[in-house]
Amino acid sequence: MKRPATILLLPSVTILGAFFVLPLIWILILSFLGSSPTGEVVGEFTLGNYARFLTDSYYLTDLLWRTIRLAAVATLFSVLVGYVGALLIVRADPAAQRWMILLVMLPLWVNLVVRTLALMVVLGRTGPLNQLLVGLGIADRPLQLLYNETAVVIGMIQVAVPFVVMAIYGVLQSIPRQLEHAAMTVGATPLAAFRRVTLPLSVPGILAGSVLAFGINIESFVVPILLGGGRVRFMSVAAYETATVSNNLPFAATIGIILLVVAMALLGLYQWAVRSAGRAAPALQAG
Amino acid sequence: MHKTILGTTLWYLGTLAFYVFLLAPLAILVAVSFNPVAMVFPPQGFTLAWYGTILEKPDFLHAAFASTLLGVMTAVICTGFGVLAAIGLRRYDGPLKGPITSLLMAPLFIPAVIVALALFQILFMMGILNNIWTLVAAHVVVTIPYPVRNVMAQLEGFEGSLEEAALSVGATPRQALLRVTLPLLKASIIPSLIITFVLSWNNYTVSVFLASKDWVTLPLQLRAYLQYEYQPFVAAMSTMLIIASVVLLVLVDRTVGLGAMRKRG
Repeated sequence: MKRPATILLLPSVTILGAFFVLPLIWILILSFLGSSPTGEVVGEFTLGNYARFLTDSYYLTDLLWRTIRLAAVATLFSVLVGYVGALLIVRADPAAQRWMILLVMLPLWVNLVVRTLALMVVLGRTGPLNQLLVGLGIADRPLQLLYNETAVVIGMIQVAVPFVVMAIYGVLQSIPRQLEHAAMTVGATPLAAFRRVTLPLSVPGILAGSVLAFGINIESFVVPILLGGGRVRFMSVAAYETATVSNNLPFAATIGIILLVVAMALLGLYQWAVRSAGRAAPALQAG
Repeated sequence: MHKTILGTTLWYLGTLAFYVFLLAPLAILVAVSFNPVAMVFPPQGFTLAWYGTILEKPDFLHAAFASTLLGVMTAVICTGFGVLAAIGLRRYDGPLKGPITSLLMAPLFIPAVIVALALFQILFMMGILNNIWTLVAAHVVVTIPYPVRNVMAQLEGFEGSLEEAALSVGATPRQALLRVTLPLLKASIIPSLIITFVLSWNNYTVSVFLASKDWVTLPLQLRAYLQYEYQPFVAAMSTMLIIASVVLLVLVDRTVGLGAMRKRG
């Protein structure tokens, strides 16, 4: 039985080895190689690329820190909106739930460039949002809503919310409604029952949803390109431009590796922090 | 939670606001595609002319062909490899079982932009960027976790007993695979084909690094139009892509349910 099993695994392991593992090892090596002023790769070991990134405040604050900051802010809002959405669905009529889930999934199936274009229309100078703001007298003339950090964050929230909803919905569904009802029979207000019973029990969903959202947001690529309009610098876009426009392959590799390491480290740290907070406050572990 | 009239009203308003946030931009984009004048909402009239415009654009038709071919090739190869790997993984109990499982799932956890960057770099170095096979291979790599996971989840269900039964009545392992296991897997193979097709069809990140002029896909072409010709025909093109997505979504929902589409976990 062992031989056929290996044969069955061979095609996928081969293609992953050649088109996934090998390229990743290659950019790790490349990030330690030098480049000539014209961008050609020089075959000698150097820490210069990392030194260049880590000593230049442009790369550190304008690029890396902005990427982390925008991804974190977008994740916070995605979890808030996603939690409300999941709660609305889980408390809806069971017959309606199926359709509500389908409508949440729908954007995930639509091309990301299309979804981002839709936001460009909404946020544009003559777009509906500006018309609304001027019509309501909140702004006296159309605002520049596109091509700034806020636009990028809104785009990332739109992308991440369906994933967060699905993660939290799954957990909320498994919490018996009777628990909240029991809390209310012994005198808790509906809000208190939610805050003391349902919310703590849904922490695993919040954790899963926020990890998912942050992972998606920090590698966001289409959104900063289109909604940032070249004005909002982002790690993924910088790696792309360094590789294809300025043709500095080793430095592009360095940006990619730093993004990968930082994303993994932050997600690991976050999960560790939430778990140890959960241990310190046993109320969070109820059930 | 919502006992009073005020509470119920707030509840429905919240639901409405949530779905407006999620879906209104797409609805507005569809409406704009009927605007005879410019990319502006609300439309200043009604026309279907932009749909004619887009269908006459040779680069749109070429991109539609490229995306469809790429999507079909990716779906078939990826699902094929994924099914074999899932069956193989079930039978194999050597020391590499853990590492191989992790490898097959790894593309979900490494940002696609980094995989694309790495592929671009190595293929550029080897001078083999301009062909469709590298593009197909790249799309297969970033989508292979989905069929592997779908098929493995289904295999858990029937615990190999049927296959063992076939073997015990004299079937060769090959016959057992072809006549028993594969037909039973139909319920996970079909959604895997659709999902890998959709992921490939919608992919921008990997394609933008690797696609040459000859293989400009729909998302890349849409982006190019956005940059150089910002007119309602891009909304018409988007509407057609939205309709295609909705059709496939409903198809999967009707046949097998949507659980298979989750990104992770």
